[in-house]
Amino acid sequence: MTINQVVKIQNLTKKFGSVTVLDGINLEVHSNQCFGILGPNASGKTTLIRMISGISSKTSGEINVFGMNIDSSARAIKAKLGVVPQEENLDVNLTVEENLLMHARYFGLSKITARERANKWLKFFHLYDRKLEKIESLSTGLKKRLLIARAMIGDPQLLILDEPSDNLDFWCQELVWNKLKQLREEGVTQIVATHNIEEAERLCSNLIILDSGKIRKQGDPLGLIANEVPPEVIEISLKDIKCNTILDRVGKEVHCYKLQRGKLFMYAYDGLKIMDVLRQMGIGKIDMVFRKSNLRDVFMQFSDKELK
Amino acid sequence: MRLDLNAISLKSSTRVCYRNFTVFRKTFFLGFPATLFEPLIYFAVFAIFIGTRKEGVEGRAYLKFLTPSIIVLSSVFSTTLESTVCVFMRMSLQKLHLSIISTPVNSEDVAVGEILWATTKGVIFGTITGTVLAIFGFIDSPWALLLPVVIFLGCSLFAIIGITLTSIVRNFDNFQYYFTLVLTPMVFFSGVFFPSENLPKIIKILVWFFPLKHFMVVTRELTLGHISPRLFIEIAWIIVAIFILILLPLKLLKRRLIN
Repeated sequence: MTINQVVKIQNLTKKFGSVTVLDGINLEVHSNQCFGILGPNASGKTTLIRMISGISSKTSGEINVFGMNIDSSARAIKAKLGVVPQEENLDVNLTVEENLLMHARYFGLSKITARERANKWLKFFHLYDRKLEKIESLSTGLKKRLLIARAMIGDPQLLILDEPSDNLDFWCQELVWNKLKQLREEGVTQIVATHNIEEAERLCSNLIILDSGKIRKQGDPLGLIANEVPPEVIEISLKDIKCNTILDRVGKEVHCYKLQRGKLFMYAYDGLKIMDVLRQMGIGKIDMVFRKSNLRDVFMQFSDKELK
Repeated sequence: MRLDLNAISLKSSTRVCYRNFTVFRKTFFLGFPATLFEPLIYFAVFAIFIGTRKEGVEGRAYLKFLTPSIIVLSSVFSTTLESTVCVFMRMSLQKLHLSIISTPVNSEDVAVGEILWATTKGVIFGTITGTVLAIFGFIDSPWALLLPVVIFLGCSLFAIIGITLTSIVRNFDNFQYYFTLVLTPMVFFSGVFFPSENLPKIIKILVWFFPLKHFMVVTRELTLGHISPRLFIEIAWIIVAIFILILLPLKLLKRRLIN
């Protein structure tokens, strides 16, 4: 084990009855990374991070966190973890502040330390003014912030988040992302499970694409984009014009294309040439987007197999 | 899934128990009258309909016979309600246990903590009921001061059974089987409302397996101040049962939470 290796997973498999949820997962998370687990719903993301958090059993394989085996040292590992679940599970019988203080107690912190930390994280997530409120009076966004604050109460070295920006409005999403970035700058390693491609692109320094329980791709976001798809994309909404008509005209310039929900995605190394042809055809700019390819394009290759 | 006894930490368990106590303290006076009135209403009803007739049961006035019964019922019902419906709510609806086991507290600690709390609640309500009845003059033996200890033992057993059930039921309705098919017959055959000494032999053998029967005998003997070897045999029965069953809820709750 190297010094900065936080999580090491070898050959991890999880079965529910005869259904294989995770199949031979191998991965490593290093300190100071924000490690993304990107995948569609039911791809096994939640199961995987629950197993890393020590709250789900595995069928076979090995999980080491901070160099300790999860089977034999769960308690010691969990003392250094912060876990943010997807489903809100705050203690509705307690106030905002009491939620943090009670969580601190589970971590075995003294009353003074608990109060200091609670104040620190309430302020950090702009919740301090609402510390005496009941959970039911909080909005979805505030609850999510409180969940992350709660996970930070034990000063974790590794923060594990399941869909941190799920169900949040734009402003709250920005706030959460900025705060997570700030935490990472302060040295908190993060693992983020998400189906939100923008989130993965914004937060993650490294990621895996998980689909049907298997790792399909692994790398840093920019590297993945560069290696997996041509650099430029043209999207056209198909209304009056037929797909084949366009493809016949642009010909070899298109490296590959994809049809999805009435939209044609053409991938190319030199998109401008295609744009010229399209302009000659008289296709308006309104129905057309010319852009750099992004993680979404990489992801689309695996989410379904329509790419030709 | 193997159960490792080292996975239990008493410190962590008491933290789970403390959480419940904190919430209980907040709402104590809201729920308190209801919980206290129920056994006292039983008592009042019996006092009015039967107690005024002077014929005794087992040679004593019926109300004296009924005093320990009311204490046992109030403690067993609070423990049972807490360890079944309330724990199920915290586990399945609030997902509270999931947030707790994401901290250094293990699922085994959660089980032990919940058992401890359900037991404590039984002791609190049993003791309050007993105190009220003593104030009314229905208890005169000083041995009754030991009742909280006995209630603690008896209620632990019911808490263990409760948590075990909670770990396996799918929804609230499933508890109905326990309440109607197990708890109610147990109450009628364990010498709570009338003596169980004259039951047919075959039923007596069956009743020997009822935890309530033994809890009832110990409580009754203490309130009456009868200190005999039988008392210790009954206490031993309860302790042995606790040791036999204790691993079951730990194992089952772990399976429920971790899978």
